[in-house]
Amino acid sequence: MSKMDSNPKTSVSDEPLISGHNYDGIEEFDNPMPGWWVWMFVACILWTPVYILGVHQFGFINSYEDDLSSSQMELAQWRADYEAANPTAVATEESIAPFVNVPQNIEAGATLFSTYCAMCHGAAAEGLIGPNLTDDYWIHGNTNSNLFDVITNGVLEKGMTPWGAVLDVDQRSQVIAFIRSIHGSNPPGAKAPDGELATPND
Amino acid sequence: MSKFIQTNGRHRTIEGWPLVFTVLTVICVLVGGTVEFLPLVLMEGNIPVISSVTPYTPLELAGRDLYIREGCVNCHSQMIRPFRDELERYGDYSKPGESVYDRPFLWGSKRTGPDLARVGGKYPDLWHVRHMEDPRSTSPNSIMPPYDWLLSKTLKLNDLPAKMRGLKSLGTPYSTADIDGSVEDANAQAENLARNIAANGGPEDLADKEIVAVVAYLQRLGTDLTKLTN
Amino acid sequence: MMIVRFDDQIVRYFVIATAIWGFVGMLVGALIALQLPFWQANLGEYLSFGRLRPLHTNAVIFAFAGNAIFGAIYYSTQRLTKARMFSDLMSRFHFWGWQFIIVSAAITLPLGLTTGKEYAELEWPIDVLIAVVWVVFAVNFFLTLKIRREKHMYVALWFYIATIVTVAVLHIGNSLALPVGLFKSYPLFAGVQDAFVQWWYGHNAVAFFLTTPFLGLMYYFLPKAAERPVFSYRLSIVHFWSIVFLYIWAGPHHLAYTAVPEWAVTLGMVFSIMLWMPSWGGMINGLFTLRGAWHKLRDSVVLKMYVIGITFYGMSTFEGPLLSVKTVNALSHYTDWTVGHAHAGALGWNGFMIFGMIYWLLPRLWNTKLWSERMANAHFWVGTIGMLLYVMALYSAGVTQGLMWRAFDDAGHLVYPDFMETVIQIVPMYWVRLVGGLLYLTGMIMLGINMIMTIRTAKEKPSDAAISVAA
Repeated sequence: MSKMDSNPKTSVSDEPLISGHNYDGIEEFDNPMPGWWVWMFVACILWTPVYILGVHQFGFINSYEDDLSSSQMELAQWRADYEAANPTAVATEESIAPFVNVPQNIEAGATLFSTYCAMCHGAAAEGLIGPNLTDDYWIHGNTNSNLFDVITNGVLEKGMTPWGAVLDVDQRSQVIAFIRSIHGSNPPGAKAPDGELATPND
Repeated sequence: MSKFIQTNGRHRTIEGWPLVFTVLTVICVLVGGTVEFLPLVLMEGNIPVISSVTPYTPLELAGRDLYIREGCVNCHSQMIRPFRDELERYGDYSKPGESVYDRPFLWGSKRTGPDLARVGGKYPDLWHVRHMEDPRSTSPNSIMPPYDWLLSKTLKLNDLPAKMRGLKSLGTPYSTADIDGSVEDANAQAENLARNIAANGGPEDLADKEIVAVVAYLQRLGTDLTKLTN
Repeated sequence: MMIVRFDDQIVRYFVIATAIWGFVGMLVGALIALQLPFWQANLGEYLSFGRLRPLHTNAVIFAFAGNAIFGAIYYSTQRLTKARMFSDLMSRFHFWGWQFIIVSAAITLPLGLTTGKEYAELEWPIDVLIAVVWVVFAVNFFLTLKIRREKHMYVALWFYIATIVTVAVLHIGNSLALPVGLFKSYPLFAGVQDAFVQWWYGHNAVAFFLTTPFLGLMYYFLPKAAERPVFSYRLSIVHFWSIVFLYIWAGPHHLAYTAVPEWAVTLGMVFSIMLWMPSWGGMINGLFTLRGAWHKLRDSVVLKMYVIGITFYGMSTFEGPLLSVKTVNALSHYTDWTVGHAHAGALGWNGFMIFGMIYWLLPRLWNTKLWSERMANAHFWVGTIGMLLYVMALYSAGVTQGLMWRAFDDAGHLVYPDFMETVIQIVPMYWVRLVGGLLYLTGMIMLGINMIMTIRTAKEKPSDAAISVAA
């Protein structure tokens, strides 16, 4: 038996036990609170009025509104910088046309279509909640820029989601390239025609 | 302070007085909640009124209670925070005045799925029907459980008057006519919705099924604010 | 001289109930952990994630931890007051009433009967029953204090007092609702106010159901197991009162950046930070009490459990204030980081303190030896490794998803506009978390086997402990 085991209560130091504190054999030392603990506690308490006044009175700490508006300004700046460095003119018939019939654009468009469009237009664009995109009938026109506008801004009253914030100009053009590539494919389960008979260059 | 906590100090005295000790504890515990809660009740400026926010229609209310029953709130928040990424993803951040009729509030604490605060009008009715029946049919790779029973279980509306009377007594401004006509009103809205779903190529017989109430509720979410700008 | 015989039978009841409900609650936890990466595990209407998750949380908090703290309170209060519980009848009413409430929860929650308020999902008839049972428990406890034979109350009793009165206040405050049917009610408050009340309750359920009773438990069972005096009486006083006063204010940190006014969230945050040291006061008093007894850890699975438990208490109560800081919360909130934090506290602190207590109590309550020290040691390691896997998986899932949600590309567009992309990314972490959870559950099963075998090998009918006191 080591000394420690035989007399555990005095093995650490000469800490004072508090006389009279014995509860079912549990005793208590009269140790002071650790200094670092006290000072950390005091520091947290002192910091409280600084923070409260900083946010809600003197404004040297950002509030929700401060953070939101500065981050929004930063975002606008990024967009402006990007636009300046990569000027993308608004899509036109001329800017979209070169995308069509290019295999790699069709392939990229197909991937985008299955991610974003298939949920409403069907996996093969046969039409589901949204219309069939493989036939000759179009509700909102059939020029490349008609398609581009619908993809960009959506048709809210019919449930078509605007994708302008999600897909960039090139991606939207790739989706159009894909749609052009499946024209007349007559997929199984194709939805009945809707809208006007229209060819791309009407 | 040191006198209070030292050996055989004042604190030692109250250790022998359980009643006093308990009363002091209760006082300590009540202070924080009271100081924080009272201004939320008494100061109207904390929850600015938005005039276009109106109570749920009877069918939406029934749908909301189904949303609660299925525990949707465990995975979907209804609270868009004022961050630029959330504004991009979900729309304008949520305002205090938008949930004044929400009993209970359903802001949630976890987004296993996306926020739904402004899901209203984002997808067609039929999209929601298909999504509930089989989430992967509309959202490939989704981890959401299917809720196909909503398409087959009959929607119970007969408890609506009692529910609306309860809400009215708590402060929701339903009129007596609203309450008396609640079942009829809910049926009319349900039939309308079901017709639209069927017209889009969806199932034909949903007018008396739970799903229409859930869709009605979801399509309402977050739309009160846009009513204001239009 | 007269003999005071303690009511240890009620403690045996609660200890057995703890093990049973712990197993059930963790089993449901494992099922819902499987449902996240594998949706096919949603087994129809009554066993889908949305209905089972509240069952899991209610079972582990109110059934597993609840029965454990009642066992701890009944065992230690009688010894600290040198008095038998005031009324055996009230003790039994408390026990059976509580088990009835748990069974009611296990039936109503899968049926979809829920208030929709987190950790307070049970509908009003059960809420009324909880209030009744709790009041009987409180009366029995306070009348025991009244008939005590020890002049002063030890620190463990202070924490029990805080627990009993505050849980009553919180439960009643958050359950104020108007019934509109047998199992349907609408809360008295709506929207912002309801949100505030809910998290005043929710946060302080953590404080006064999962912290203060466990500190009381620690103050009794740790010095008993270590056979060492408590480190500092003065620290006990200061950290007790500061916890009791400060904790309540911290609730709104659960509502950072929501529609609750920012000043309330600011208060929630600064009080959370002020709480850091008071919480660590408990950790210090626990760990420093072991000074001079560290060598005992080698042979005592009980002390090992306590060291892990107290260490995780310290970690969670550092992480809590950290997560309350608005800018950190902006990243962590709504992600699995929060879930990881909750489980670091629940698995690490609550679980291990309960396991330590049960391994210490088993031989004493049944007057025998623990059936297998080796299996208890294996439980310690399996549980520790499982818990670490669990929290690491969720920390990385939470941070990953939080960062993906806010990522913008050079063009100023969201990098992951499709929410699904951020889900696919963390599914592997959900599998790791399931493995961690299953390991922890395995430990719980080991405890169950050890308990059954210990009870079966006990030679005679267990007898209750007694002391002699001055007449």
